[in-house]
Amino acid sequence: MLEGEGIGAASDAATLRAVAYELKQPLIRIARQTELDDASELPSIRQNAEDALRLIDSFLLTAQSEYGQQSLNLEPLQAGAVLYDVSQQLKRQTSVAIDSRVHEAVMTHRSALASILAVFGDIIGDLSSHVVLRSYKTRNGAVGIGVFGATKLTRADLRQAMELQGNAHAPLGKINTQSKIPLSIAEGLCRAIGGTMTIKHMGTLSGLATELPRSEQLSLV
Amino acid sequence: MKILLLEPDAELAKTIAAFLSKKHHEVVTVASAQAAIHQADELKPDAVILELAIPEHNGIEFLQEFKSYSDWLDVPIFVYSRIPLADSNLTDQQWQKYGVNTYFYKPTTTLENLERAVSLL
Repeated sequence: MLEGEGIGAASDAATLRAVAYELKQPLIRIARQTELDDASELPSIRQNAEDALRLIDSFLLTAQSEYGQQSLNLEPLQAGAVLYDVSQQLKRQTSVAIDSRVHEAVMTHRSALASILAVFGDIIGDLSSHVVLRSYKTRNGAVGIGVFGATKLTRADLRQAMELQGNAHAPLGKINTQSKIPLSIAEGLCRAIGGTMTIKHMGTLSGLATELPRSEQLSLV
Repeated sequence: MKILLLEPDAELAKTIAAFLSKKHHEVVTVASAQAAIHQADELKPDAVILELAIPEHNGIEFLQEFKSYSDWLDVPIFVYSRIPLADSNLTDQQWQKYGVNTYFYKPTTTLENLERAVSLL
């Protein structure tokens, strides 16, 4: 790599981080100010501010990884713990169950994985009144983690959703592209944690999942 | 409980202090590390709530200075920061060494949860 390229990328990453911090500050003020009063509209204002903060953090994680200046620090984590955290968020908006079929750890980044599952939850929650957060083993020994519902999603639906994002005049596809965190950020986060984003069918349910390598470190314990 | 709040964002400091006062805590707000050291002498706080991103010095330098005084070695510190824990580049052991009780990330931690943690002391 040329020296100049490296400096440019580092500077872009630093600018991005600085802008993200400045954007977050007023949103933090709004979110926390809503806790001072009991007016009925305040919880939804807080929710909107916290959703925007989550979007900025998710974008920042993706961008840091894409710039190549900072790879995400992956750590061995039990999938069930992350599924539980995400279920607590999702249960505010829909009926949620957890089906954790994998007890080994995966190499991942906790907040990136939580953001990915929150996006999947938003999308599947739009298509199904009940969602299942599930971890499963894949044929090649990886661990899949995803959100499933009583819906029939196809790879074509996913491809169409990725193409429609940000295009105001496009016809609406099956997958809602107006989720709080865009699908492209979820896909970027999947790549950043060494996984893939995929459509998965399990029994009568189908959903969106990311498939990750297992943590050899904890498997040996 | 007497709380020293080190928060450089004046508007946010006012909000946090108002919330904690409603919960019957005595709160003194400062915006810099130097002011915090000065106020700690007068207030003798039961706990410190600290934003790591502060002007002139950073939060870690404040912790080093604060914990160098034997009187304040046992005063628990609650980090309440806009900087994610993963970006702080400190290990759990280092946080413990600085007497940090809990690290809270502002975007995802409500004042209710912050106050609950402080009240558990």
